[in-house]
Amino acid sequence: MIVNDIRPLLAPMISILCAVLIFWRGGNAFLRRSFSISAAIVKWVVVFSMLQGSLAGKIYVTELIPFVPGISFLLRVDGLGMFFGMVSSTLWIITTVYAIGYMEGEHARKRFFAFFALCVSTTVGIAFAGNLFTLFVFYEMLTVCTYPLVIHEETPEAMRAGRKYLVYTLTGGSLILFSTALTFYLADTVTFAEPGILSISNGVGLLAAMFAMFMLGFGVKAAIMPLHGWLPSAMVAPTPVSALLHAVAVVKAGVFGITRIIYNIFGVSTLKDMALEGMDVASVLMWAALITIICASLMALMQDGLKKRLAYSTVSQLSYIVLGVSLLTPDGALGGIVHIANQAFMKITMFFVAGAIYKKTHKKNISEMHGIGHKMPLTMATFTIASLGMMGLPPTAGFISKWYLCLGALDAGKMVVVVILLLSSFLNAAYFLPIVYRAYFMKPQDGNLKTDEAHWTLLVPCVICALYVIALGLFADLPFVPLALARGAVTGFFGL
Amino acid sequence: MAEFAHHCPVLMVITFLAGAVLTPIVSKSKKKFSFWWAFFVSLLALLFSSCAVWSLYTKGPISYWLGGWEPPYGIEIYFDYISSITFLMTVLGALIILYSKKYIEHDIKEEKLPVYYTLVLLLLCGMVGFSITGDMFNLYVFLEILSLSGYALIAITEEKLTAMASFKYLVMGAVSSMCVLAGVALLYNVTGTLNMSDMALRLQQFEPIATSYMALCLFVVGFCVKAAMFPVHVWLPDAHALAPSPVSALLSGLVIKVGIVGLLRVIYGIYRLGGAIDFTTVTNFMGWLAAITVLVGAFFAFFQDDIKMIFAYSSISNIGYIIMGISLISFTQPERGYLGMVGGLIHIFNHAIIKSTLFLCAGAIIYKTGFRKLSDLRGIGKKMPITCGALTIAALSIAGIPPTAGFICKWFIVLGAIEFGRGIWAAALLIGAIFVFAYYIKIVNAIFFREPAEPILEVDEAPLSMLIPIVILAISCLVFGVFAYLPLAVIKPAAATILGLPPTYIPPGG
Amino acid sequence: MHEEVSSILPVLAVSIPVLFSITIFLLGKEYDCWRGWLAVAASAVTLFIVLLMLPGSLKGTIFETHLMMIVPGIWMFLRVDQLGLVLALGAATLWFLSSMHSIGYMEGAHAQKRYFSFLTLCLAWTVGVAVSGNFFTYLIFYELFSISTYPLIVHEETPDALAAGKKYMIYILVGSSFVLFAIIYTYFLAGTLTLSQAGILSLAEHGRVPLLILFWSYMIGFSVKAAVMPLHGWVPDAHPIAPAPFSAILSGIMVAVGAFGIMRVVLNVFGPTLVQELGTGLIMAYIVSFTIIVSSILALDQDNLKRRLAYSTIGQMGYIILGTVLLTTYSVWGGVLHIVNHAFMKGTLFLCAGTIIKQTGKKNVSEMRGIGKKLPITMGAFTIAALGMIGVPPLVGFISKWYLCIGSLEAGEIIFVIVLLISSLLGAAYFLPIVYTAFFQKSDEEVLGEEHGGHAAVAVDPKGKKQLEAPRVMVVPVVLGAMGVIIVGLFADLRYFPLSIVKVAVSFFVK
Repeated sequence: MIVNDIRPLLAPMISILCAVLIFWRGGNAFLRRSFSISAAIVKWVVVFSMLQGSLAGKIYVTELIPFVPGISFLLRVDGLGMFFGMVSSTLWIITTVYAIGYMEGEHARKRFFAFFALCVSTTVGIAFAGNLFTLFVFYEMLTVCTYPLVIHEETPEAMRAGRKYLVYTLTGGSLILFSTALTFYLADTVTFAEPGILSISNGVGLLAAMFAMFMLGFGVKAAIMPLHGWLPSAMVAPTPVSALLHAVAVVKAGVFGITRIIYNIFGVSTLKDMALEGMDVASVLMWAALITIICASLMALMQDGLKKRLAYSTVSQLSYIVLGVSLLTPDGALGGIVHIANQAFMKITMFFVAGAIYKKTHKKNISEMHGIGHKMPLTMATFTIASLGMMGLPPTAGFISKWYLCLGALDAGKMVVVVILLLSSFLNAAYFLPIVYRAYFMKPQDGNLKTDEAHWTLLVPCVICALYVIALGLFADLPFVPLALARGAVTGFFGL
Repeated sequence: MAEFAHHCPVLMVITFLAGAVLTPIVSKSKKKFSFWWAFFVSLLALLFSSCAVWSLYTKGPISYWLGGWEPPYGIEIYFDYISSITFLMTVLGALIILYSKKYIEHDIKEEKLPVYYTLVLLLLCGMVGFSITGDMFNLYVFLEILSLSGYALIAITEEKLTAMASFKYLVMGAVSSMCVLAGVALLYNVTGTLNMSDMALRLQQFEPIATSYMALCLFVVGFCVKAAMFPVHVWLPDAHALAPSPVSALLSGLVIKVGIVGLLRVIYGIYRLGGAIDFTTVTNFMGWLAAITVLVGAFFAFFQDDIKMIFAYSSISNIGYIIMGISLISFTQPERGYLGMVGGLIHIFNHAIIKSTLFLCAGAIIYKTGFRKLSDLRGIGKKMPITCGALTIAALSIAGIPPTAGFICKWFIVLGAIEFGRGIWAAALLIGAIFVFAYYIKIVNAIFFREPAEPILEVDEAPLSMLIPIVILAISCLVFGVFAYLPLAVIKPAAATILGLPPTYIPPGG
Repeated sequence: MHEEVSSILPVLAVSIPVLFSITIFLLGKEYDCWRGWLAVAASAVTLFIVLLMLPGSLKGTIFETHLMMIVPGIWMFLRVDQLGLVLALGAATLWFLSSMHSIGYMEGAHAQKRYFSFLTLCLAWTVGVAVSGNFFTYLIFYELFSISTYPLIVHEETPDALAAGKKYMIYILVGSSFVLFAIIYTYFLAGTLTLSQAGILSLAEHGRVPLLILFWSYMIGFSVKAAVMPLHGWVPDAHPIAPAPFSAILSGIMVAVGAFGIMRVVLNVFGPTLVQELGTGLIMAYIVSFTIIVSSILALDQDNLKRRLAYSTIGQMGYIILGTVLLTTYSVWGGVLHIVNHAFMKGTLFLCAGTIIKQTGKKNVSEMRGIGKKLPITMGAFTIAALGMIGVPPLVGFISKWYLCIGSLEAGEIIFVIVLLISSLLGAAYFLPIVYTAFFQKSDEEVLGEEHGGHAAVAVDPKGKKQLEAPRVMVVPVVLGAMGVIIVGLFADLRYFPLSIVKVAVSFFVK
């Protein structure tokens, strides 16, 4: 049921307004904080107010001015969009609290918080985009808005990372633009539809080329190997940025785009038809994801910088999502989509912890973190929970995703996927558990065992996220948690 | 009112011409008064051009017979959809004149101020005249007026380098003018008329002969030099970079577009309408060259340190966009070229706005600091936030990042190229855009994210008369991106009529 | 024959130790001495709750709680059947003994907070494994259990301990990956994971190859924990390195949880009929026979007492699995019963080893000459338990071995009887020398004293007294364990004793 509503527009506009206000009066710390937090909360309320309807199958639509002929600027909240919007607006609140604590005493806070708000705005825009064109607009805006955050430190290293980030993402963006134009040419529309707007009659070879370009384009942000190069370098950014943007917004925008392309542009049946014609592009994507999962995990093993290791782990985890959606089975898609939320909460916890440690001790490398668990027991406990979640141990959120991914793979008759997923859990353990181990079971170098936790603004977000990781695992089936939303989306994709 | 609108096109030209002539006279005693005069003239011309455009969209093209002589015997002023570019010219002209007030006082001696404003008004006169005339010889005359005033404006600061740049421009410009003149002569030889529509009609009656083909080639070469397309672009970087910034804005924003208007007039106004010879070989060749131009311009810009030099090279690249867009034409199926044409035309409009913003911002920075190298300008963004903010918006826009104006063009041209089956052109354009962004980000990095050096610390924001045009233009970069349907309302019928389709033409799926 | 009753007891059995664990963790520094007793209390309460279910369970009642739906269609579902009750009973008892022993053993040790809270937490997860009503719930508790044991294994934080911990983690994670795969595959094939009936798969419906893949995935996964050779690598490292009271649990229950998993797979998931159709049971039986013999031979060679006990454990797990896969009534009786019996015996042995280490600092058998005189009660208990291991009647070890032998004969596989007998002989060969060394060899000091002419008593020990017997908190559990070994053996067939419940449990599966 389609409902015309202003709220899909309102959600991104709130953050834009917040950014404007911060630019205007953000010099004052109190005002800056009030703007950021109140905007985060108001936005969450707006998004949340649509949740009930969305679960009941309503689709909220705001159609704005025709952007260019044939394509209007369309915001449309369907199940998948609601899912992503909900995740990012929830995490925005938590990250804002964290960022306020973390950025204490840093330079250019006005700029930081303003662009932070802009990024969230565009992320929600991506979530609510109703057609490929709107999606692309927000997608490119996200690239640009993230840049000042990535290079926030303004060190040569940060500048290099920023440049790399732009080169990668803009190249990807060009490919998306190119294939969007092709889509419009072929289908005469770019509006997301279930199930897809392209059909095999458009020519298998052309479709395959388009699919490849879309995947290369979105694959940059989704960090599918070998397009992942920017992500580890971008870790020079302040931790809240790494947390929100490189675990949630930016990278998820990539996988979200891939999901949209597979299910709303091509459609399951078209991709299956293509496979019958000998162009099994979904399988190619699946293999790329599998290779990424393994290679990124191996690379993560070799990193000493905590954030670098987390970055490679992100690369690997993102491919879980890509893998899930490329399986073209309901369970696989469900696992992939729900992993968007699950991975977000787990990874954000880890980044928060990395930030808290850095803020408290100025330690960046794992090899320096002997006995950090004695110093910051609660912080490291949240890290441990998140690590276990990453490994996919029950009853954490990671397990739910893995469960559905494996079921989906079996459904698709791809036993090898299951094997690799399990191998990957093992690798996850291999690079996360040594950190936990070092923190708790090795003595600190200075021999000081006194508890000295980070400031509450840093600690509370960690704890909330960690609790949520468990809650997502234990209560996965309650209404209002991501699984239910993802299920709604998948139902539409497969016409169940 | 309608009667008045009918006279407006010609009034525009007359206003500028008379204004130019009168400038030295009215400001004889008080040199600085020449600014207010020129500003007044430009506003008056803006009024006329608004009326003319309004009339164009309510009543259709205006055909004005100079002195009441019926064409083809008399001279015809023909204000059609292409001519609506005059509106852009008058708006930008007014803004740039406003901007010049402070800038040019700083750059040249006071007694030369009237000369400057005279030349600016003459330049505008030439451009406006060029765009609205329906007569081939007039076309040439106006081309010379604008070229000559352009050469003079570049050299107005009397520095050695600018004189060299101006001379280089002069040599190339003269050759191109000769080409155009030769083309006019050949066509006159074939058809025996100078009126464009008449020429088109008569061209139909002749067999496709080598002469008219040759004339076409001459026109294309001539106008391509003016538009600075690869490989005849060599004059542009020096000329645009070394001229005073408002002049650079005029040259880059508008003057090179005159070459495009010339191409549109000749190829589509005469040869397509005439239908005698299949010019797609030529347009195809132009398109390929344009694709190379996009890449070459972007590539060279990457290695510049002087900000105005970067902008100048990026102009070359963007001219490539436009020519690519208008080269997507099929002789037999005009509707296939529709989207590309829309893209090309809208980029004329958007690039003018964007590039003017860039040059005016650069000018404001140079005015305040005296530096023009990126390496000297580190951290300027903290001292001149509004100017640099505008610069950033324009930079994003020129790189085609949505939702700015530049994106619309990219979208249409890419779409057009794909629909036309020229995926490689689209690819070249997108690769070029990445390059463009790469070097604009270099600028943004330097001005915002580096620690300011010693001399920069004392700088403050530019004066209001500079900020107003900059801010207006920067906002338009955003507004015409989000509300793209505004310029498109004008450009779609223009594209349709150029291709010989009804003005209300709607492409399939649109 | 059986009725299902909705009850809160299963939830309590799991949640009470969790609450205790949290309490132990949150207590301040000044309450250090309380932690141990709280752990004892936790296990006592858990034992009590489990015992509350015993009478009903003997009548065939099955206690169930549907906790919540984790993912659609799959409940977090606790269900206490007789088989689960056996494990829960064994676990709670052993934990009771072990926690009590820990109070003495851990005195003055570091990180007591961590030790006791994780110890109690592990109890909760073990009971959770026992009372899981479907494999999904099972998996949750199984994984939690595996992870929670890690801090206990590496408790000493020495490089050796950390290396052993790492090895443990790697083995267990590989194992649980197989288990996870298998469980997902089961769900895919059968569409359910419930453990409420005998067999949810069928050969006709699912085909031979998928079922074989499934079976062996389960076997590999659980065999890691159950220490079936060649997947036993972590056991000889982890057992000696962990604190002795926890080694007791590790050996008595933890590995048995792996064997219990195999039991669930064979009895609940595949069902005896299907396993027989597949013919995989016998292969598994040969593998574990190999394990039984080889581990016993390896045990002979160990000088470190706890290491020797660890190899013995590997062998004993083979008994349990052997009994299960032979799939005759008596053999399954023997297998299930051996979970409890082995927990008693091996728990006692490890607790004794702990007392020895704590009191004398001696870890190697070769150093233990004459130790029986210094620790008479402890070594007495050790002897009883060791005899039980060898299978001397009327001790508990005999009962299980008896049923195993009868079961093998019933299955017509006489070779396994021979294996069991050889294993007994080897058991005697590696246990009796310890007893002999402890009681009948003279200690170094005595030898020294005799050489110096008579005043041996003077040079006996640094503390200046001859008797080194442990404090009461360490002696009592050991004695209780030894008494258990005797009494449960003597009165094996009495109502409320393990065998009675085992009979009911097995009657559901094997007719």
